[in-house]
Amino acid sequence: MTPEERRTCAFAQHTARHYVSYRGTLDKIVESIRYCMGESAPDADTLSTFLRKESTQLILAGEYEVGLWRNIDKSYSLVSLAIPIDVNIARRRLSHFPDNPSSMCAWCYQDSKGFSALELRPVLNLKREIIQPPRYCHPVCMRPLMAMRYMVERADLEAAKPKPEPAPPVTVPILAAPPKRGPGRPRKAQP
Amino acid sequence: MSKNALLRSNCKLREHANNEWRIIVDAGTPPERVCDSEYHATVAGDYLPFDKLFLIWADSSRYMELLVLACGKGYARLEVLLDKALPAIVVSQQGLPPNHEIVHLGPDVDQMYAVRRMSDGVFLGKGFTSREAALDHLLAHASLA
Repeated sequence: MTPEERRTCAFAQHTARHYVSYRGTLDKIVESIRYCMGESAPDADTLSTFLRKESTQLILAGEYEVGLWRNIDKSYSLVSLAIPIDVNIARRRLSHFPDNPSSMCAWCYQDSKGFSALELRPVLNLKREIIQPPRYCHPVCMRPLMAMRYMVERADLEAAKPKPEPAPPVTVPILAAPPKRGPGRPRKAQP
Repeated sequence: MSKNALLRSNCKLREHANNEWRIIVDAGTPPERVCDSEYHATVAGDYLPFDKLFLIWADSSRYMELLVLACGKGYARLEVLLDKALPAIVVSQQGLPPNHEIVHLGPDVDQMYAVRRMSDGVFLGKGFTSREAALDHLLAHASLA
């Protein structure tokens, strides 16, 4: 990737973090990124072509924590894939349910309406069963969602571990009495 | 003519002769327990000699492979092939080395994710494109308190 492309990706990350979860036309996304970049922005056509490339979208998702993809209804989604660092925030997020959990992605809350079977995949546990209550997720959003679930699971396991009892305080007398000695070997009587 | 040559009749596709089992082990189970014959008592009737068991701990902390040497209804004699403790993936702030944090500075190429030492505010590294990249750098360069 050229330095200009790296710079564009950095600003795409900034825009995604700002919106958290955006769904609209690619032109609007391009406009937002160009606005952030200011004078050094590439022109809209170049940026649009760059963002539509599959290789760019893979790099953005893999390295820059930005999810960018084209939906079935030809709109584009720009989603930030950054997970919260605080376990309590993550726990709250996981326990929050959108209005329609079967058609809204568990990470970005975008509604797939009638196309949920095509756009969303079920969130599965280690036994490859759907988690209860059932949640669905975009393939791109699956990575941060599973990382967040893993983080909360780990924290819960750590909290559930029994804490070791604190050791009882050791009392050592400062001046220990010398041990009592026996009579020893017989001695000659003093003259 | 050598007697120790493989006959076609002794050579069979593994998937026709043996099964492979994927077992999810409860978190906290010690590795010695899963090698006990009693642990497998309820399912050992379905095992075949020289089946392979792939054990995954439910909290992704350990992975083991066992070979079934002898089995029957209620007993299984096993041999450990592989026993690996899996490293924990540090993701949350609480899991970071003390006195360090990972912050997001801004959009430019040399900003993005940065590793900062909290005691004096010195940046150990800047310009990481993802939190994972910053975390890898932090774990390699963390200053001991």
